[in-house]
Amino acid sequence: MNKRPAKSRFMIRMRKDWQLHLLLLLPLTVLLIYNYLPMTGIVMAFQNYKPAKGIWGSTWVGLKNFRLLFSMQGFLYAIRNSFTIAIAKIVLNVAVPVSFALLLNEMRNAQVKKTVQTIVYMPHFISWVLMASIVIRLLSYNGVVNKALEFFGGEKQIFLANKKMFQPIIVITDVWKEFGYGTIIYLAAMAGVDSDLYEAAAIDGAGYWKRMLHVTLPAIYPTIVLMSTLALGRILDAGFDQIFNLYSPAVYETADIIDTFVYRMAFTNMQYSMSTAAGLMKNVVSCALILVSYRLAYRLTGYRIF
Amino acid sequence: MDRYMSPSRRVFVVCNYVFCILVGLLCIMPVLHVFSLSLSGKAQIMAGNVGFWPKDFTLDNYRYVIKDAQFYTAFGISVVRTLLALVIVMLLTIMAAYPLSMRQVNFPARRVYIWLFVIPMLFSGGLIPTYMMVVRTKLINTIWALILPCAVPVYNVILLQNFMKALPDAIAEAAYIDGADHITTLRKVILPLCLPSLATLSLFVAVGHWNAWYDGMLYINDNMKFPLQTYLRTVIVQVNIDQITDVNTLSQMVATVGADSAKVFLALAPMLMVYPFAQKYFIHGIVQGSVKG
Repeated sequence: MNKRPAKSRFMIRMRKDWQLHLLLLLPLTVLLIYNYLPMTGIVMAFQNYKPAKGIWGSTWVGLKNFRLLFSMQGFLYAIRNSFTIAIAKIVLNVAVPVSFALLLNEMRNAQVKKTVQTIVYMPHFISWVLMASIVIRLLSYNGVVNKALEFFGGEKQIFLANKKMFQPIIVITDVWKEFGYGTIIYLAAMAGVDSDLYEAAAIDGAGYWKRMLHVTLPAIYPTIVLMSTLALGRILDAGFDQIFNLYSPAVYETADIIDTFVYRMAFTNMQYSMSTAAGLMKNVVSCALILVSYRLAYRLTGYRIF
Repeated sequence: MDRYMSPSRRVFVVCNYVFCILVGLLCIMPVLHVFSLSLSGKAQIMAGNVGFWPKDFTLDNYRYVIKDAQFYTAFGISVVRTLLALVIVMLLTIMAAYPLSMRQVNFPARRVYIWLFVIPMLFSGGLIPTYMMVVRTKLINTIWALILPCAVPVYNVILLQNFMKALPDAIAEAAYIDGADHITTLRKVILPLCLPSLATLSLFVAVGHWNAWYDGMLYINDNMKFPLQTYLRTVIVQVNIDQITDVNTLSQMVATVGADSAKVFLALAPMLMVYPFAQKYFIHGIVQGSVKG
C-alpha cells in the first residue's frame, strides 16, 4: 500500500495539472511584478519618503500624512468635487440613455433607428484627449458656442476658466460622450421583449404611453438596476481622463478630483508620501464600494462577475 | 400592429423623429467640425468662418501634417503598440483564462488562483509604487512601458473564463478521452469555439491601446517616443488650455488650428472605421458578464 498518500496524491495531481500551472505562470509573473510588488510600496503612505533614502531608509511618521491631507483645503475640495461630479454623472448616465432608448424604441423605421443608434455611440470610442481638443475648441472665446450665444444676444464666456461652469460642463460633455453606449445596452434589453406582450396590452386597451410604462420599462428594469449598482462601485472615479485634459489652475477649486490631486501631488509637488496616502484612502474606500456593489448586483439581479 | 394613428400620436411620432435625429446630429457635429476645419483654408479658419462644412477647400493641412516627423513617428508608435499589445495581451489572457475555467474538482488549485486574479481588480499599489516598478524594471522610454504593466487585464481574463466555462463540459472531456493534453485541447478545441468572445476582447484591447495617453505621459519622457494620443495631448490640448485661460491671448485663434484638426482627425479615423463593427460584439461582451460563475 501507499505509505505517503499525501505526497503521492500531490504527484498524481501534478502529473495531471502541470500544464495548467505552466499556462498560469507567465500571466501571474506579470501580475506579481506590476500589481503585487507595487502594493508593498503602500508603506510609503506611512513614511516621510525620500527617493534618495529609499523605502528602507525613510523615516516612519505613522498617520501624519493622513492628518496633513485632511488639513489641506485642496484635498477637501477634491473629495467634495469627486462626489458631486460622480453622482451627477451616475444619475444622468442612467436617466438619459434610458429615456433616449425609450424614444428610439418608438421608432418604426428600422433604418433611421439603426443609423441614429450607430451615430450616438460613436463618441464613446474617441479618447478624452481628442474629445478635449474638440470641446476646448467649441467652448473657446471665438468658438461655436460663443458665436451662438452672441447671436442670441448673450454675453461671451470663457467657459473653461469659469469655476461655476466647470462641473456642469464636465457632466454634460461626459453624458454627451457616453449616453449612446448606454442606449445600446438598454435597446438590446428592449429587443428581448416578446411582441405578444405588447399585443396583449393593446387588446386590453393600453395606449402607447401605458404600454411603455407597463411593458417596456419593467422589461429593462433589471438592466437599469444592474447598471446603477455597478456604477455605485465607481463612485469615487469622477473621470480622470476627462478632467485632467480640461482643467486648469483657474478652476482647481471646483475641478480637482482625488485622482488629479494624487497626480499633481506626485509629479508636480514631488510629495510622494502624501500622494500615496491620498491614493490609498481612495483605494480602500472604492474597494469596499466595489464589493458592496457586486454583492448588491448579485442580490438584486443574480449577476455574477466572478 | 395598429395602422390608425390618432392626431396626438402623429404629432408625437413626427416630433420623436425630429428630436432623435437632432440628437444624432449633436453627436456627429463636433467630429464634422474638426473635419471641416482640417479641410479649410487658413484665412477662413482664422476669421472663424468655418462651421460644419469646409471653406476654401484645401488639402494643405494634411500635406503639412504627413510631413511632420513628430506626428508620423507618434502615429507609427501607436500602430506598433496596438498590434504588439493585441498579440501579447490576448495570448496572456487566453493562457490565464483556460486554467481558471476548469471546474474546481478537476483543478483544485483554481480556488487559490482565482483570488490571485481578483485581488488586483480591487486593490492596487497606486501611482507612485507602480511608477517606481516600471523604473526598476528599466522600461522607461521604451514601448514595453506601454504594454507590460497592463499586459494582463484581469477583467478580460474573468470574462473569457466565464465564456469558456459556459461551453458544454462534454466537448473538452471528449478531447481528454481521445488522449489530448490540456494545451492541445485549448488550441484545437476550446479556442475555435471562443472566437466571438476573442474578437470582442481583441476590440476592447485595440481600442484601449489606440486611445491610451496616460501611460505615455507617465513613462515616456522623450518627445520622439510618444504614442499618438500623448503627443496630441502635449501639442494641442496642453497648449490650448494654457491659451484659453490666459486673458492676453484669449481672443486670438491658435495659428495651427487647421493642422491640429488634421492631426485630430487622423487619430480619430481608425476608431471611426472600427466602431460600427463593434456594435454587436460589444453588446455580446456585456451580456457575457452575466454568465453564472
